[in-house]
Amino acid sequence: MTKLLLLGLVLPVIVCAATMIVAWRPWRPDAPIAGGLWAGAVALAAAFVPAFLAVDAWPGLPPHVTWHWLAWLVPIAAFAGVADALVRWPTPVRLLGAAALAAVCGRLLVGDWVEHAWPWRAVTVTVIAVVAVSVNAAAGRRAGPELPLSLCVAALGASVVLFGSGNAKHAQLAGTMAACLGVAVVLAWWRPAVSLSRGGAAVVAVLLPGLVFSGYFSNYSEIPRWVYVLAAVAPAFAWPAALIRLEGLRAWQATAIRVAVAALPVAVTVTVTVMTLIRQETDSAYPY
Amino acid sequence: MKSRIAFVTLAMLACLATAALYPTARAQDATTSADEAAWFAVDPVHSAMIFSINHLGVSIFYGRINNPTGGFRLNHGDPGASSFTISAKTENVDTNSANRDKHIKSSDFFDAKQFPDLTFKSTAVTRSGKTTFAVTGDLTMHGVTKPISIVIEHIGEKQTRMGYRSGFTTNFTIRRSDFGMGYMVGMLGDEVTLMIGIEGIKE
Repeated sequence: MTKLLLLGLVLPVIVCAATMIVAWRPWRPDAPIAGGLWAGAVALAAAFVPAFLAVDAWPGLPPHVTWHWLAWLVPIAAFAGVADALVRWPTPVRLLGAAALAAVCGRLLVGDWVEHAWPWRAVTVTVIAVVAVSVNAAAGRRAGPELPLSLCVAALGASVVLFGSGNAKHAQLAGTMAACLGVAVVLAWWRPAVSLSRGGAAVVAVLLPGLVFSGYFSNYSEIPRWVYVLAAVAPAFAWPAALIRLEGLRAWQATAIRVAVAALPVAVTVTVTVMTLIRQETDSAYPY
Repeated sequence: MKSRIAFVTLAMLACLATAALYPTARAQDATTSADEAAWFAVDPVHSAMIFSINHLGVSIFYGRINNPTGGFRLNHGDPGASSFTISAKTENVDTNSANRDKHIKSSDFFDAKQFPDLTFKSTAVTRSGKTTFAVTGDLTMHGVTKPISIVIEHIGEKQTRMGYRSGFTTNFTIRRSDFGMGYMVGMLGDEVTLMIGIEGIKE
């Protein structure tokens, strides 16, 4: 239990916070913004390493457990994210990069043992690509705590769905990611220039849908299939929320409204998960 | 008259020979086998795989994996010719709690959809006692194969109303973390003891 808490939560949060602080130097308001653009991707990926080690041993290549591909795909996504954040690629190149990353994830995260593997690969690729592009667009549109807060809520929602589906490991990893995004929220509140930037989008897009779909493929719960799809695509709602124009409101009020809009799919998925669990509570003596 | 005596004598000899060759209904003791080359298919209804694990450091919890399959050959005269292949579906885990069964089958433990089978295949068998055999083999679980050594005890074999049957039992302990199932060690023990009783029907 101590290992789960220290390695699975405390250490990832410290790693994430340290990386963001070193990169952005938020105590210096005059620090160049460009200096921290790499931080979002690196912070989330670096935090993922101890979080993964808390639930499983680091896998070899190729991993014998399909979902363990995440351990390798997250660093790859971080690399792609840093490249995306630091270089101003033409839009078609960026879209192509997101599609390529999504395609690799779809192929590797959906094993041949999954029922209807190819349709699920198509769904996984689509969701990862949509989340990557949407979060990227939202990151470019709004500074401050709005985006990390929306993503934090999405990660928490994914964690609840995964916990309800009986995948405690996946739920824990999603929860750890929510905690790390919480760090980004605090830092962005302090210094609105501090951002996950575009780089973080690639890591979020691989990790959250990857966890949710992997949890679905090995689950035995009665939670409907569409709940997993909605939970996986939930981070993408940060973009339409960021498009909402709110004038005459204070900054925190506008942030609250946009985050609430982005959290609508999370509210649906969490509600359906809880209702499903209540309905199947024939066995309430086993909380885990 | 002579031919009648010869016929009766031949008939008696034939009866004796038939009686001697016909498989006896009497039980073999566990140190011998009526047919050393026979293969016995596991009878899932009369076989059991029970596991026990420490729970929270306060108790020992028991569960089972229903309907094992496979088969075995037990050769007392030439133990090296013996062979054991025992399998079970991880889907068949049964702990008397539907929610717990779902959890054990999930990716936290068995990952039963990706790794549906649990298998033991012997690689070497030697006699270790009057009714016991030291069996070395490969245990595959959660996609990981590890060599293990166990001792099996032959309980007996005989002709029954349900066919010619033979059976054995074994107890052994493994570490689940060796098979990539190390989640929640502390709350649940790492060591899992398996108690297996197998009854086979001669094929």
